Amino acid sequence: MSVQEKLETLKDLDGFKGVAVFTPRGELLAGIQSPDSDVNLKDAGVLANNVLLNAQKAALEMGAGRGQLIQIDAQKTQLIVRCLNEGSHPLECEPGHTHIHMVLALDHATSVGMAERSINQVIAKLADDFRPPA
Amino acid sequence: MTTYADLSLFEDVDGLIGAAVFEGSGTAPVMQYNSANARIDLAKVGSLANNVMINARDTARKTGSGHCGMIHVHATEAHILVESLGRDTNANLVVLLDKQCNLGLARSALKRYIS
Repeated sequence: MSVQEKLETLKDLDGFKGVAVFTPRGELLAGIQSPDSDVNLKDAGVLANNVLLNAQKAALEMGAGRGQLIQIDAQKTQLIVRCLNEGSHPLECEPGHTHIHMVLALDHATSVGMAERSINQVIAKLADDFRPPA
Repeated sequence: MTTYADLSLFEDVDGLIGAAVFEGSGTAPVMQYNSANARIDLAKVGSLANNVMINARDTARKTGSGHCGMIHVHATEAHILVESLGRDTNANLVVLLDKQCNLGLARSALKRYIS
């Protein structure tokens, strides 16, 4: 199954607007967008990715552990940003270990629980696709 | 000066570590409630969470997503909820919970607090 096909499984979520995969530094790796989406996925992804980085640094500093997911509940859109980091360092990329961030945009009135379950399943399936050489 | 409702309604939420209200980019909470078992610097932790909310609000505005009402950070050892106390007040309520918390009850208490 290709990366695109794995991402497309999220299109079935109610209120789906788009999904994208980024490096932890905010470079777009892959993405799909609903044709009627009002969100510029690349721009939104870069900004939302930045919020996750900020949250991860804050979580570490406050002793809450590794920040794995952030949900941003705004008036028109829900943004869910999920980190998959197989490495030992919470913020860095390490050879042989996948470290990607996935941004999912949904309508405001959406089942967040279902979306979180789905994003967890899909990001786990993407680990092999984005694992750098050791 | 804005007055805020008592935070003690959070005391019944299982897994509560603490709750605090921050105004603007404030580094110190205008009011706070610590659980009896909490051993954290709520002012420091809350101000970090408040800063994440400011960042998220800015992102929501720039992406045309509207006003950011709430953020939820899932960390390996805690849940961090930050709820906007109104578009005009620029104040935020920060709620910290451990991983075994009752998240549904916490969200419900949060909604009751802002209403």
